[in-house]
Amino acid sequence: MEKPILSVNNLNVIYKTRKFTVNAVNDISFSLNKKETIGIVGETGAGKTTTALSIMRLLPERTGRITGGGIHFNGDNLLSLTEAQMQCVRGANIAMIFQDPMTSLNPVLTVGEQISEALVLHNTGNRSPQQIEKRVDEVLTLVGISPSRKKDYPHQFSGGMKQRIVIAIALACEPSMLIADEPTTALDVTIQAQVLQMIRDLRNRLSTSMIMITHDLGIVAQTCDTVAVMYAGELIEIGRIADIFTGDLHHPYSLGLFGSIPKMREKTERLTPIPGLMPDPTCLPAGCHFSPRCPYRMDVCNTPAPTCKMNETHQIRCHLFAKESLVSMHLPESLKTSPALPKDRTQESAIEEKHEAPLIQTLGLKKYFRIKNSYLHAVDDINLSISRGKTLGVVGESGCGKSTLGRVILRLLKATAGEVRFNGENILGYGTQKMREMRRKMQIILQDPYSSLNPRMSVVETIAEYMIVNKTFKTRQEIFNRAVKLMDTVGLARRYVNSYPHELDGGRRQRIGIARAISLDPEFIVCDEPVSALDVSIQAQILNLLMDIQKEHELTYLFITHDLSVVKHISDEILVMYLGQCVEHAASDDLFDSPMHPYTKALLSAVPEPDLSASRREISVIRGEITNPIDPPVGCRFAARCDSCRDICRSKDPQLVDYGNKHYVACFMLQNYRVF
Amino acid sequence: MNNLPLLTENQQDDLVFKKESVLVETWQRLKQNKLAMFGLITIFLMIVLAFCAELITPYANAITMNFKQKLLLPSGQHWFGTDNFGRDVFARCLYGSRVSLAVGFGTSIASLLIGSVVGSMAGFIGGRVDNLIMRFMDLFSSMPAILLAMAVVAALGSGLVNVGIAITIASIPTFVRVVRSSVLSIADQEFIEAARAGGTRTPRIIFRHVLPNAIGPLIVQSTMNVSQMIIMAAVLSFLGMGVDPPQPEWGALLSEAKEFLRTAPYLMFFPGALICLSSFSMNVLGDGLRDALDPRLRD
Repeated sequence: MEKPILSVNNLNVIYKTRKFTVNAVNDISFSLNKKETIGIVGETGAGKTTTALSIMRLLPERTGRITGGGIHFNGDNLLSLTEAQMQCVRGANIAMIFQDPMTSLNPVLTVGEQISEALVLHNTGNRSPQQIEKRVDEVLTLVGISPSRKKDYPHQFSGGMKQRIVIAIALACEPSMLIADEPTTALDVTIQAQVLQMIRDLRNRLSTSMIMITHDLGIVAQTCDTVAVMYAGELIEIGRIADIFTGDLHHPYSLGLFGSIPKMREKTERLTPIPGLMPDPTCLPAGCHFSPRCPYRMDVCNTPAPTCKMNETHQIRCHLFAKESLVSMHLPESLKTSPALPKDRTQESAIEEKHEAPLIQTLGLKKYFRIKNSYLHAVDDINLSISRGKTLGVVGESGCGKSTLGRVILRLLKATAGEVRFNGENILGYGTQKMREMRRKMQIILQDPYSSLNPRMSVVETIAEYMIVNKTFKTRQEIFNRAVKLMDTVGLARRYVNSYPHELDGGRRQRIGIARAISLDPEFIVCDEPVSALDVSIQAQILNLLMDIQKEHELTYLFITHDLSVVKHISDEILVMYLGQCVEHAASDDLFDSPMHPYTKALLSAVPEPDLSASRREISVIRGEITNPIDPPVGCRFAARCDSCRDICRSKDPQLVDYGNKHYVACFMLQNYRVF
Repeated sequence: MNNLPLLTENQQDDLVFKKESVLVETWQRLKQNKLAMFGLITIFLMIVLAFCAELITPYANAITMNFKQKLLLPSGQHWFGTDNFGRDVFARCLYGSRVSLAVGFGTSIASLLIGSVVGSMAGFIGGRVDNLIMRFMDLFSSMPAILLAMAVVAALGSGLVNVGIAITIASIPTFVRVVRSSVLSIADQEFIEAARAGGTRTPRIIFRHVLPNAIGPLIVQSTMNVSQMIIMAAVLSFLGMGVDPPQPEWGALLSEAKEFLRTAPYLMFFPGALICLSSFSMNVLGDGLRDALDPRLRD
């Protein structure tokens, strides 16, 4: 057997503060061969980043401490190196790519200076200044950025370009190992696809080993050879990707993780989230850390779980697979299929579809922001309608105007032109008083569960606030009683009534936001990325809750998101936005089964899927990045990035055309081939 | 943070609305901060002494001159010694605290109230209102504060109340700036948008959602302001625009004592120490209050 380039043995890391000791990484071992990529997956707080920082020996000096184990890189024990020796390893032999490209570049140095800095520091080949300059040009070309831009400063680049520069810095000294900590989480899906493809290419060309830290199983399926699943500081399952994605035997947590993800290819009525939360790392449960949430919990789970070898490469840390328990009996087949579905939604919609007047309708809705002497076309002529009880999903990349659209419909922003009709009445013409009445019927659930709640108000005060403002009830007691009932509705335990938002985790905070939104019995809710800040298992809980509430109260949703699998899961119809305009609008299934607009196609193919069969297929990566919507020129706004763009696309605006079954697309290419 | 056991998640605990008023809750937390309690007790004692001055020594002791006893060292009879007119410095400090504390607190509270309303209007409404308010404030702060105060006193006439008004006006711009900058960062957050979506009117948004979150820097600013105001009042009375000469006041005591810095340093020591003690106490109390009012720092 070939000697691994990196081996981590029984690593233990703690964070020690005055009050607590956090066991961040408990006894994990794995190894990485040359040219191999290992993916470390897990939710927030699983210890993924801590593991990476331990390998780099970059743990926070005062608090973080490695208490046991060894990290061997090319045969050297990294833990026994001095800080000066370690500095020679960092950057030259092991390089790291951080999550947020916005903050990992120094804003006052040009990108060329930042790349050459690493080269000068390590100067491995004794390069002359000219050779260093040449190397800077080389690596910039490598990551697909023109060397002529090396004199530019970071703010002159877009997010995706910045991340390419971060990668260029990491690769400058030709390290033999690369640690990528969520390298694409902050990027849009089409940009993510570009960056991932580039990382894959470079890895193959430079034969670098890589540790890919991510929470996205789709990225793992696309880029990794080996997968390690972490939970509460422990490595609970490790195996080749074939073992993880196609094998039958899994740790119950890994199964839960898979069950929580909405699938792109199949229609799932209800997600199967993992109940509960990741345990507090300051007081981990005895024995198996997952046992309190585990559906297959046994008495023996109070003792530390053994690591069981399933085959040469696949190991699971769980009592279920220990020799003495009967594996076949416990095989969690039931988890793979979701529980019985209450009703088939597609059938239901077919019955009641007949010409119901839409609850919400926009006509030629426009919102321009004035910037100096030009206008930013955030929302440009959007026509949509949503029937009562239905969900319209709005998807698009950041900057496409989807959040602005939601706010203009609610009149939180003033529309530049057009109408918003609620039950047939144009609410944009309402006076202040009438609009205040109207607000009861239309609500919003906001994206960030951390900034959407007033930190100085307790849970019950936050939920009661709208009812107090709108004087829904006469006495305060009635309002509070109703607030508590709402807490029951959204599944928030009553003992949190007097808690403050900072004491709760993201999922619970989002439940408060939902309770607040439904407190006035609205008919229409704009959900602005309500789950994008949450971990997948919590995301599944919240999505289920939103769908339950919708059914119960006959709510109508406008669901804004950048996550295509989420939108497919929750929506009846989908509207795809690009630079303020609608490019495609169709029933959810139609859109996913037969996307027609080139942009929609590109978006769909850019999503990494947690599925091996799909993963290795050639992805059509879309060129370029979303452009600036300030005073856009005439013509199709997607033209600059479109492969099938022709002259007409640049001279005339494409109109939405119905291609049957209410599938609207705005593209000239389709119109020419249209069969009459 | 979340170390409650998972299994009790769905238990229906009996509901207790511990809807204690914010004051009670804040007091509970403030009590645990020893330094803040020191400040609170000191300030409290100073106020009590200022109110009960007559019970301790008659006002005559503070103003009657007695040249036979001038510039005596501190002793059992004259705790803080006597000044160049033979007046008891302790009595002067005691009666002086009435003026100084009243000016210090009164003006700080007034500028806090005015500053936070004006500042939050500027930050929250923005646009033209913001521009108008801030240019007006620039106008005020472009002149030295003392000059501004002098101009106001000259216009209104001297006297304690007018001095108060003058230095309040001089200190408002700082408050407006502090409030405006924190309001700007808060107004960006999503919970403000959520409040709007619920039909909340602007005044309620400002008082219920914005100002409570801006209170930290405000409290720090106002407690630091108290000692500055005491000095400012002193400077005005030194220039003959504040309290009239025989009436004692800490700042005035300081400026009277400066001629005797070599020969009788204790004259400067006692009023100086009182100004230091009161402003130190105010600052630690302010820090404690800021922490006690913040639910995020609650254990």
